[in-house]
Amino acid sequence: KKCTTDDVEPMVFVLPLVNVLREDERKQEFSRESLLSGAPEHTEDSWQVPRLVK
Amino acid sequence: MSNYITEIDQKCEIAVDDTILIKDVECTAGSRILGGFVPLFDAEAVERIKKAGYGIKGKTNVGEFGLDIIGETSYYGEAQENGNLIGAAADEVKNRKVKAALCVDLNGAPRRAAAVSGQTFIKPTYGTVSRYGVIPCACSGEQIGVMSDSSENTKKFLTIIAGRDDKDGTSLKNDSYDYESKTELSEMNICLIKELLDAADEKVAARIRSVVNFLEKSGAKTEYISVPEVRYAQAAWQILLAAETCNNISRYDGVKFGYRTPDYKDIDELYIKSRTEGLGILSKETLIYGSDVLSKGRYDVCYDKALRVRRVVMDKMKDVFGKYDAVLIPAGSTFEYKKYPLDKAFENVYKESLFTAVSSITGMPAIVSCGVQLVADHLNESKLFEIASKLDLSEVEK
Repeated sequence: KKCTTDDVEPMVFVLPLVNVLREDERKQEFSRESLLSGAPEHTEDSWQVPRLVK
Repeated sequence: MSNYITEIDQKCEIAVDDTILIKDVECTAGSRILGGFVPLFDAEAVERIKKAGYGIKGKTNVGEFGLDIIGETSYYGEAQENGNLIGAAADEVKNRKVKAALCVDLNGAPRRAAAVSGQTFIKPTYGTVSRYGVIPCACSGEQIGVMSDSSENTKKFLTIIAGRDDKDGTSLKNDSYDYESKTELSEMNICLIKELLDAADEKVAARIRSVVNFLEKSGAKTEYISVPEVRYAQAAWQILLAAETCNNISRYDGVKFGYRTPDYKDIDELYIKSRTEGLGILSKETLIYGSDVLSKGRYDVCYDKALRVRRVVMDKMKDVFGKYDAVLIPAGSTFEYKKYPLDKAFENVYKESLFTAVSSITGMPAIVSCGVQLVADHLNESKLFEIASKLDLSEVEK
């Protein structure tokens, strides 16, 4: 059976939460070293992938 | 095989699903593609459990990203009992190896596991438990819940983990929640949805009938109603789940963390082979379906339509809860899930989600106890705990 939705607004979130904002705040929770530590391959300061531009 | 991907401390009494982060402990979400991923922080729920003085025994195995029926798609193996799938966390709780387990309910897997193992599981109202530190998939519906041996213990551990968390943008404002009952079971009106009862097997239907008899004897009123919208909920939730999962899983590319194929000649091959080898068939099918429903030409008739259907289902359920305190339905089609060829997973998971989709798509709380599922209106967990606390399997089956 078809569900008629012509006059129904889309519902993205199930609860009436809108514009959940906070003040911009600069912080560094994790060091570059720790963020790189999980990568399969990395240099001292970057993730490493095969060369893209030949 | 062990129920744990990683054991942390045998003496501790809380298990945590492997879709929830624990600092410095490998987290795979049941997928090869996250093999070797070691988180840098604890999930908020884990932090709260630790702060309350409990230790974590280990990370329990889950189906890949929690998408499946009951853990059968894990890359690392599934928990079984007498040839039936049971779910690793449920197995630990059932055998009293832990007091409780934190499980992510994405598409009903922990609810089905609780039903087949006779344990209690609550999926709380969306937004009441922080999702900070959960491996994300279907963000608009997934929730951390608690599995335990009784409604009392389930309530105790949910009280610990629930409450406002600024780190989760979908967290509700209450700092804590009171789950103590204000309505006695004898004063409650409970309805059953015919369409879901008709879809379950005879053992499940018999259990539902026993629970109805027990509730009636306890003074509660029960009534059978028709809610055709449950079929809409099933179809719409599959679309939303696939679309959101597709977006979230796109981050696993073999570059920043997790699995990378050992053999590649350029960046394209790195991406393709890492994902081909790293993801299981259900995840791949979900990704393809999710990409399809979000694509130009299909977005309006699939994704946008599903968002509108979500409102139709929500309005219907709000109407139902205007008259009834809770809905009693099966948690799944059966109490005996067997292993099956995984090329059937997408279809099988869809069929099974019929019973869990209403709560998933609306964010309404659901509890599984004595093998049956009860759903209530948002923030009405206290009613669910009241009913579950009175349900005693030996009494129910008299």
